[in-house]
Amino acid sequence: MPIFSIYITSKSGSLLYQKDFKVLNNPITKQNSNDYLVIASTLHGVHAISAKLTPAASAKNYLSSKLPTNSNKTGLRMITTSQFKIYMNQTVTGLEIILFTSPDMGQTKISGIYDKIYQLYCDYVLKNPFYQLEMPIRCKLFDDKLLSVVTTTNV
Amino acid sequence: MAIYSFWVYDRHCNCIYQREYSPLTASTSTSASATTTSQTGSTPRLSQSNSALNNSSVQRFQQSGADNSDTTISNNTSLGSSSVNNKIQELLNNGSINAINDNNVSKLLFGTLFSLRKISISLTSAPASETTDDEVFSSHTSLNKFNELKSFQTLNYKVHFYETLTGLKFLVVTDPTIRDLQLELRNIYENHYLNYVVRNQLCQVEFKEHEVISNDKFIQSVDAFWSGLPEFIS
Amino acid sequence: MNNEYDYLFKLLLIGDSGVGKSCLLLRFAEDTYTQDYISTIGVDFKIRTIELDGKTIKLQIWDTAGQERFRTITSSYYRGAHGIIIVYDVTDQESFNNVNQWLQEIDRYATSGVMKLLVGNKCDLTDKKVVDYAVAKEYADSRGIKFLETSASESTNVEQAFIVMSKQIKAQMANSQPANTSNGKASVNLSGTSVNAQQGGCC
Repeated sequence: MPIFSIYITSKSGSLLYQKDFKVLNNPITKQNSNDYLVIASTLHGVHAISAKLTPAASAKNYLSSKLPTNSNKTGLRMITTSQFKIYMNQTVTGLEIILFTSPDMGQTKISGIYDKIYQLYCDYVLKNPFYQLEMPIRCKLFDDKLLSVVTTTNV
Repeated sequence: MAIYSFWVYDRHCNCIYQREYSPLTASTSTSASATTTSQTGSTPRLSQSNSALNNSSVQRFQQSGADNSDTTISNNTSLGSSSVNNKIQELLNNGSINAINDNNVSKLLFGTLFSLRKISISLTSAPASETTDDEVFSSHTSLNKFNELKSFQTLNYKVHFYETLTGLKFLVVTDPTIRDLQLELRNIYENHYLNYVVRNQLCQVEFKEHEVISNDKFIQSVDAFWSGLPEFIS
Repeated sequence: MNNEYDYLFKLLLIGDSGVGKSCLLLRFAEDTYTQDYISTIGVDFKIRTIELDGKTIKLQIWDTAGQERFRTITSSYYRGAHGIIIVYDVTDQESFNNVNQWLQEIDRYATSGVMKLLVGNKCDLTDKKVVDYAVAKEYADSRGIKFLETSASESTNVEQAFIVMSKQIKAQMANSQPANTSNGKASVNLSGTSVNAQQGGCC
């Protein structure tokens, strides 16, 4: 159940961080940097739209659910394609962590990974005095730690 | 209520068929009260959908709907009780047909689908700058390489998606807990759409803007198909 | 991670439909093909990379659609924008009159300190021009907004419009970050390696 890529977008839908991981049989091909920006922002837009499409009869589901670490209650959460899955998570502050995984990845495993990534973001990005909020993340330590989290997951 | 609505878009992105078993709507009116009124047997939504449709076939459909779902249920042993029977009938009658093909919900649903489909295709093919139009076309037609969008979901609902090679798009909106219904959508295309729309000589081949499938046979057989699934009212 | 750029600015392009917003972008953006998301999700993205004071900046321009069905969603597109460009058509008085409404919408949805720029498009059509430069300039000044007239078809001032905007945003960012201004250029030069040294010490 490998993770293929990670995208982190700000609450305004700008791409803050993007990384493709080296995985055997990774179906996702490398794109140019502009394409990554467009994909991230498109997902942000679609996320907002999907909340508006909620069938009236189903609105009760989200009231009964309790998800402390993930505030993504009305927006898009999972997209399934034949070659990969996209999991979208959103923190209460609007930060979106988007994971591209293999199709056999399950929701429970994702929640654990998501918590770890968010913790790394807090420790190595937010606490970095030189990081400018809402701007691309260029922190090597975050890079390294993230890679080790993903590597242990992908093994 | 687990299957909310069913949509068909043609290759020109027009919604040619829309069947709602429960409103897929952005209106924030209390959903709980809406469902209770429909279940107590009063018919406020029924008359509403009739007036919205201006379509005489609806009336006929609602009468014939009774025999139609009867046969479905007799085929399906798991749904024996008459209360289940009644509930299915209720849902079929209270839903609307082709009422909101052109409204905002329909267009936004299509927009979401369109964007996600584009992402799933573009991410698995080389960057657009390096592929010519011909290559893009051939990668679409070679089935093994083509990464198709299967479904997307929120905490509240799930949209299952099946696209034919001719560009027809079949969507069904369900509860998020429902298993994958792609095969069912394919079944609808192969056994219902082909039989009652494509092979129907009175049905147009290409749908113009605002033209919809109003063919009773198709509506009935699709309704019978969905209501026959154990997921329909789970 | 790709380090091709240092900053990413979110710019929003708004204005009545038909004033030539998308044409303005085509002149400026680097992708030659259009993605055509605008009709489906109410926004299209165009990107241009520029150099400013030795920094590489990506300008991601969100071109929004004016259609009614996107009304509720466009509010979420305003969020966190660094700059907003309001476009009107100099040959169409109505589009200029509506600028006021667009400004109200900005006040409602966007961050309070957002950079604004008023652009009168199609200024090459001098014989059809109905909105006078002086009138628009006065209006913009009264609101404290920069103003430019452009022509997408002759690409007059288009480049200018976006560069002006980016400079303003960058200047504003430097001001809002006291640490940066006090250290002057030195803080800007602290990239990857120095940051790590700093962090290593903390942990």
